[in-house]
Amino acid sequence: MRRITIDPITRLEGHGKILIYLDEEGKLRDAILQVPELRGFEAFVRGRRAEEMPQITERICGVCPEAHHLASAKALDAAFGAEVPQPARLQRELFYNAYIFSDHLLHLVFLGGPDLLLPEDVGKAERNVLGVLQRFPELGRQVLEVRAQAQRILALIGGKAIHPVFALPGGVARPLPKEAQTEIAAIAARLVELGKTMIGVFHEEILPRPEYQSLLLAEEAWLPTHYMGLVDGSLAPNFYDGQVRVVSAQGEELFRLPGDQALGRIGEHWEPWTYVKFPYLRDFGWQGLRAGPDSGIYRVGPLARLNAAERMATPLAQEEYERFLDFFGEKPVHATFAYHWARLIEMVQAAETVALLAKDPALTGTEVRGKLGKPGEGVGVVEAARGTLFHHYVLSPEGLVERANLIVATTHNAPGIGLSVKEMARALVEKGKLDEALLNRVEMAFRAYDPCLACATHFLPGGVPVAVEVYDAHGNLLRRLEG
Amino acid sequence: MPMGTCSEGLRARAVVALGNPDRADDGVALRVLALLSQAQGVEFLPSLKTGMDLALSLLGYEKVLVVDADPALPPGEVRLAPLAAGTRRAFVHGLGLAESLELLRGAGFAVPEVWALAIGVPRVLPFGRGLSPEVEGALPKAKEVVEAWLRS
Repeated sequence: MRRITIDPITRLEGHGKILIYLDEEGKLRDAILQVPELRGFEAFVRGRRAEEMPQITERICGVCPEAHHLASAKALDAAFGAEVPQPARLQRELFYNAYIFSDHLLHLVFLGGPDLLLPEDVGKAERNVLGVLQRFPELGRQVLEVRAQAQRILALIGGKAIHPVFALPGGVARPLPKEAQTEIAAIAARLVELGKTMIGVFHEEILPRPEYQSLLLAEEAWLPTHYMGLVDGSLAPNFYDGQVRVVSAQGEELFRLPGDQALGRIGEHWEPWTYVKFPYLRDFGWQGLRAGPDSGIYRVGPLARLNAAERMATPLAQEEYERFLDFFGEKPVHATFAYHWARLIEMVQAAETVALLAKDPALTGTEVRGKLGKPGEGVGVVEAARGTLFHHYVLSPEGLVERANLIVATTHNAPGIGLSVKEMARALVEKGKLDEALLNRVEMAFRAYDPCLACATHFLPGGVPVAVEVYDAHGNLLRRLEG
Repeated sequence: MPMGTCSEGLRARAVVALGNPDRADDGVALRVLALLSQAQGVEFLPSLKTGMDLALSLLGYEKVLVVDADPALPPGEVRLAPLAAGTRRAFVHGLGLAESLELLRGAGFAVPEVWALAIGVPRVLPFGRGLSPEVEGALPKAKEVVEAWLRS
């Protein structure tokens, strides 16, 4: 009998690729991240009813539909000039923090886990999620159980965890029943407990490992860029709402603006060798694909959010954030492999926020839909697990989409990912390591960002693996690694 | 934490439809789902997600059929087979459904028996609604296969 494998890569015309080019002497000439894209999304949505957008956009990425669903709803709130009532806002924010917790947990333990939890001498055959589970069976089981419960929160609010449909322009579809609030509060306590467990695991099993410390402090993994993230009024990260704050490579605030104004400060640069756009800060202009205080390149995502903020919003996350800053002794933290640690801190904040919001009596209020005004233009911004996500719509007087533009996290990070990959490759090639270790390190630099090519390429479902290819000076393929 | 309902003494089955109706033939699984009549003990689940999220949502079912578009098959061809893990290891978000189920099984969870119904679609799927004639023509056969699977 023929067996069938569901393989998302077969749905894309080509792979995401990291291409490494060597010169005549075998040294690094260049390294680039090449991303395929099927175009046509903007044309497809033109003329469609605005209310369809939260459903259409959540279908473009099988990894984080929650982020697109709410960014879209927020863009429509703005486009219709709607005030979202407090109960609806609380439902959205609680749902969103449960998603962030859930997504970060999966990455930390199972996707980043093989890099973080397994010693470097573990062979390729075991360097995977099953290898993690074999070495940490109790932790693995606990993580899976709690993640299932976090999904239950998504289902209680969003309808179905695998297909959330609840946010509408101006609010949400229905009030939350009181029994659902009670159930969410009980689950939230387990989320916080697992957050504490994960902090313990990080300090006992991950941080003391010389391999991880060498990655955190490696010169080739130190990338001085600017940083972007949503912050609340006290300058703590907020995943669902707030102002877009950008700090420079030296840690100075460059701007703090509402999403629509922040969008105007971002330019987009095209290169002929990749479909992914390269965003940059207009204040600096496009200075080429290089980092530094005078470059326009910035990064988003967990590390960027911590760098763009001045504190965390919740107590346990704040404690861990202080340990994080003590370790590096400076801010911004430019170490790319600190993305993992930042992810842990954010996961804890998300768990604590879920617990806090679950106790709010206004959560079950019955006023869940604000009045809609005349259709116009709107920008919605949320912090997706991988970074800042902008949805920008222009609507016709009839409420149809005239124009839509999305800037997703992996697009913001594309220049940073490319640079990280290049620096990692350069360091290893110069050491003469054109072997599996090189390819694994390059892949690790890429993976630290938790990039989502499905999102960047508007493709469902799940994500797109990336191949690493090394070419000699004559264009001959020397090595290929495929995930 | 099963998503579906379960009659007393009858373990539920689920039919999951993966795909995006805004990507032309990629939405074929949802069209198949729409053709099926509701049956006792069977849950129909359209899903935007695969991987671990979908795997966790399937815990508690006895048997699951995942219907999906498959560009590796000739357009319009319909095939039913057990879901198998690929040779690809986890990479970024490449933790697929089969690998996630394997992970859950390894952690001691009772995972369902999962089958896949693959329907051949063109390799390139543009934005747009509606199926191509070849894929549209496969709907009766796909419906028949799902109904036979439900009776088995």
